[in-house]
Amino acid sequence: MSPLPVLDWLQNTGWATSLKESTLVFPLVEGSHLLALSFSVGMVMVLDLRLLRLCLRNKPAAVVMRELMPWSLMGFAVMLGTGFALFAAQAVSAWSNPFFRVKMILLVLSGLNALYYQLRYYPRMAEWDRDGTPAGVRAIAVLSLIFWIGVIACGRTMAYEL
Amino acid sequence: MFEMSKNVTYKGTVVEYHLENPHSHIIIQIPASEGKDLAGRWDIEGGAVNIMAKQGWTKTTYRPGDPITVVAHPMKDGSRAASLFYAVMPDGRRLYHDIARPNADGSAPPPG
Amino acid sequence: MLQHWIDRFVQWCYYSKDYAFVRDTKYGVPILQSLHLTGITLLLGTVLILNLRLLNFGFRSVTLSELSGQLWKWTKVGLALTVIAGIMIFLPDPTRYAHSGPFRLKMILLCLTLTFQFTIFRRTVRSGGTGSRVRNIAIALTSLTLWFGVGWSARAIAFFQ
Repeated sequence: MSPLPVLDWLQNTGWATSLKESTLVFPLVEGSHLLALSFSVGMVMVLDLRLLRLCLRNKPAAVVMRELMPWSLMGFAVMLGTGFALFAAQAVSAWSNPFFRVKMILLVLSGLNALYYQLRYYPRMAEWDRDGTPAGVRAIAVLSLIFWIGVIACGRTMAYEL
Repeated sequence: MFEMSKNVTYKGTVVEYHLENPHSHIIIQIPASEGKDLAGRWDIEGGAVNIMAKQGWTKTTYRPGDPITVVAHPMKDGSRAASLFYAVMPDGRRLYHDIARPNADGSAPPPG
Repeated sequence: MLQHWIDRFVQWCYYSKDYAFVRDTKYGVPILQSLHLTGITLLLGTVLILNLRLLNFGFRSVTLSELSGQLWKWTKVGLALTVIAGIMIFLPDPTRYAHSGPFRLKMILLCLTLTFQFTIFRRTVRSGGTGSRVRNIAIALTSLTLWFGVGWSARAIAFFQ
């Protein structure tokens, strides 16, 4: 079952059409989507760097994570809201854009990566942080950085694939 | 992705006209009489709403069915899409996409 | 007069052979823009954390000195990546940017921002923010306004003249 009819309906709704045709609102939404990257992905990058012991080494990883999380989650909420609005304005062409699809796949992979960390390493964070970061945690941090840089790159390249 | 140093003239009929963000689009149908390379359905891409509006474009500049002549820069990969340089109005006036850019040989474009 | 020199500079950039890999490849520009955006994300992320701490809004279980000592390096890494990628985006297509009002605004704001960042802001943050609370708030708000001013004027390039 092709989603195209739903996507076509979505991009022709009143609000999606006014978003596309607006002079101020669209730039505000798109600008918020990009600048909220610092609130969301930027914070995650700092956490990944901490897990790799490349910054804030003197602080327990659990403390860094606890302080970052609320801001990061707020940032991701903005990313999701603005992202959906931007998608709706061009639903059909976004859907058929290969870079959009890869971006979505990378987002899912990032989520699974984070989930795996939560289940496997988060419970014992204080211990391994003290004794020496396990290879698994380092791998998760590196993957996280790769996935997020990939998301940024796919997001940007989408515009160049007509 | 567009061959910015090439200016090609496209003459046809407007199929769709969208003044929108992030890029405006004019879909043009070019008749077979224009030659094999040009005939067919083309997507002429413009700029954001405000940028086009500053150059004089409005929501009703073109309607489906209107004849249209545009000069645009074609896609490098040969697909039927081009980046708008300017449209030629019936009275000869030019409607530019953006603040005009220099020609390929560096000379300034003629005033519109 | 200034316009004449801008035009001369623009033509020199435009015809240089070195930028062929950017101008003439399909993915040259998107790759550079992605690097520019990644740099900005890292740069603004660290700047945000430092400012949240200065405002006493967040990261309260870490002292400002500790934060700045460990994050400043990454602010600079992000900034270097952003600026290098930015220069490589600008040089092959200078007409587009040199004639853009928002771009000129962005450059002016960037100069102000970097000056502020590497003088008052750095001093405050390195000394652990021991000044008055009002002073800290003023510095944090100035830093945030300047950086996001650069960000918003950059986004405006695609939408306004």
